[in-house]
Amino acid sequence: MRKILLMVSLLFPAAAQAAPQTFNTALPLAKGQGVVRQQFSIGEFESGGTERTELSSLSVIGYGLSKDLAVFGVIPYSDRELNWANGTDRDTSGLGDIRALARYTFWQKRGKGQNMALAAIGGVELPTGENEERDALGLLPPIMQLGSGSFDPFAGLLASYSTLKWQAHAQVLGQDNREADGVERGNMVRFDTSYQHRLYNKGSDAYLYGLIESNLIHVDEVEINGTENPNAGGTRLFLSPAVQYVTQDWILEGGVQIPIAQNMNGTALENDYIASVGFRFNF
Amino acid sequence: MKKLLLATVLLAGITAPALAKDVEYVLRVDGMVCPFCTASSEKSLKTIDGVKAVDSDLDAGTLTVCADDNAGLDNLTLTQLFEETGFEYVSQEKTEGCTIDTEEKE
Repeated sequence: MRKILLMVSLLFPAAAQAAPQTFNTALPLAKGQGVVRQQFSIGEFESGGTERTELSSLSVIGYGLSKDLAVFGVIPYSDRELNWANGTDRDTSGLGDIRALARYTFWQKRGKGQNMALAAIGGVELPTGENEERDALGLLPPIMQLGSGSFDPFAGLLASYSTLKWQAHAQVLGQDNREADGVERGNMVRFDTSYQHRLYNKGSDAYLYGLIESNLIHVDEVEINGTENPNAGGTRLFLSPAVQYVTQDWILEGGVQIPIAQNMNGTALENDYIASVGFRFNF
Repeated sequence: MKKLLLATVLLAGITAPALAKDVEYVLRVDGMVCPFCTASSEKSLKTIDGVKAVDSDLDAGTLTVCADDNAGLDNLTLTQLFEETGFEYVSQEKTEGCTIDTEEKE
């Protein structure tokens, strides 16, 4: 479950282009230049009277090593609160698992006012978040742990087609979650698409885009000491409307991820929504 | 006479940079699709000595550069520069004098 929220919101290295809000773009970063992205989000989950709220901050920094290769770091910080149906409350906050990744744009075709690219992405989620956090009631459940405790590799493919009026992006990505301290989180695979349309432009100085994105995310069940937990993992399909205001120096963006279909295992919490706002700038 | 010659040479040396002609290049660049995209190209162009200002026209797919005549904006340099920023340099037109605002853009 925890992984699903992370996967929904974390896998989005910034780009020096207008780009999807919930995942990556294949378009490259300029050599020797960088981009910073900051996003704040809130997500709510619920099942059978049990509720969970998560406030997150995601900081992304990217740098172009060459015309095709860019590296990124994604630093998550979360505040989580779990309210069990029986009235028990538990909470935690802190640094999550930092992600280090690289993106290689292996094909690009450019025309007047258009840009097409294909890229491969790969990296690892580092065990920087606490994975054995306790409170007065004992060890917190896996969905409340901020880290996995393991080095979890991931890889994917990206495609982007951009014009002056509209852009389309797609991503397929998988993550192999490893075992740590008796807990092996379910592996994840996701497929994302994005369409963004220019709604307004102030000459060449600023564009306003409307976006609609979809995120299909599947996470396997968690294994605890070799036994599968039938109440964790599942599949979600999000539809995510958003807006993005793009200038030469910065981007402001905001959107809501709405689950339109959820097939969760057992009593795994269902997602109500994830709302986010953020900005990016070049350096 | 010697002193007069020396003074003339020195004066010419001092005033030469100030007398360098401004020229304007209109660069056709493929792949630019949004304002954020042009920032990297403008930033790279401004690292070239003699470049005074850069402006973009996304609809036309062009960047307009005001620079000293001797700034060295040749095809080879521009091809490499735009390749490194993820775009594709196509062509240039050069005219004397600048029409873009050099104050605002620097």
